[in-house]
Amino acid sequence: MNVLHAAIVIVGLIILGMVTTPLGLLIRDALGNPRMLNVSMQQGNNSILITLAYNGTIKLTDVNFTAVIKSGGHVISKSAYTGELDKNSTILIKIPQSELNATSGLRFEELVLKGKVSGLYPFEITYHPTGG
Amino acid sequence: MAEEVPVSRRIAWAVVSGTLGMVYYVLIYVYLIPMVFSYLATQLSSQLPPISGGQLAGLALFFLGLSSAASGLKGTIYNPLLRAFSNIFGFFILLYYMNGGEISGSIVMEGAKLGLFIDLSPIIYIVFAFITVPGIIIPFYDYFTKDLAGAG
Repeated sequence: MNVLHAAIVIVGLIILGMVTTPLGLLIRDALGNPRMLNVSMQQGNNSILITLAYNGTIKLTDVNFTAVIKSGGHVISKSAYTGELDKNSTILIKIPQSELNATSGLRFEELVLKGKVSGLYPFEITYHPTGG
Repeated sequence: MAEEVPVSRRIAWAVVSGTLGMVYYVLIYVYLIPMVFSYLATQLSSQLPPISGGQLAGLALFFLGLSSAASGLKGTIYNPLLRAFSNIFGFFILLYYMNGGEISGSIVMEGAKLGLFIDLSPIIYIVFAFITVPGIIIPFYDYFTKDLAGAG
C-alpha cells in the first residue's frame, strides 16, 4: 500500500507541475513584456472605440473587460465579454458618442479585466489612472 | 515461535521511520508547495505569511514526533490515527501559508494604481485530492486489511 500511496503522491505532484506551468509562463510573459496588455482609445466619426490588445502566450478564458470613462463630469461604464483571449487577440468596447455629454477631454476612470487563466484560475486586474 | 524484537531496535526503527515521515510532511506541506506559491505571489507583489527558520524547525520537530509515535505504535489504531492527523495538520499549515489560495496585491506605477487578484485554489484542491486524502485513507485501509487480518 505504501507503493500505491507513493504512486498517488507522484501523480499528484506531476499534475501540480502541469497546472502551475501556465502561471509560470504568464509571469514570464508579463515580466518580459510590459505591454502584454495594452489599452487604447480611439475616437471615430460617431463612436469611441476602446481596444484591449493581449500579447501573452497563455490563453485567458471567460474574459470580461469593463471600461469606466469620464468626460466633463459625466461617467459612463461599458463592458465587453469574450469567451477566449489568445495571443495577439483583442477585445473591443464601443461607446456611441450620443451616450457621452462631451466628446473631448475623455479619460479612463477605471479599467477592469476579469477572467480565468487557462480556464483554471480566476483573476481580476484593475487599473486606476489617477492612483485613487 | 516468533522472535521478540528488542525494544532498542524498535525505538531505533521508529526514529528512522519518523525522520523519513517528517521529511515527507515538511517537504510537501511546509516547503515545496508553499515555496512555489510564494514565488508566484512575490511576482504578483503580494504579501504572504513568511516561513521563519524557527517555525520550520518547530514544525519539523512536531512532524518528527507524530511520525515516530505512529511508527512505534504500528499495529494499533493509533498508527492510522496519527498518520491521518499529520496529513490533516499539514494541509491546514498549507492553507495558512497559501492564504487560502488567494493572492492579491497592488502596484503603483507612474501615478496609476494597478490592482491584481488571482485565485489559485485549484492548486489546493489537487494537493487535497492527491496527497491529503490518500494520506488519510491508506493508513486506515492498511490497518483494517493487513494489521487486523495479521493479528486475527
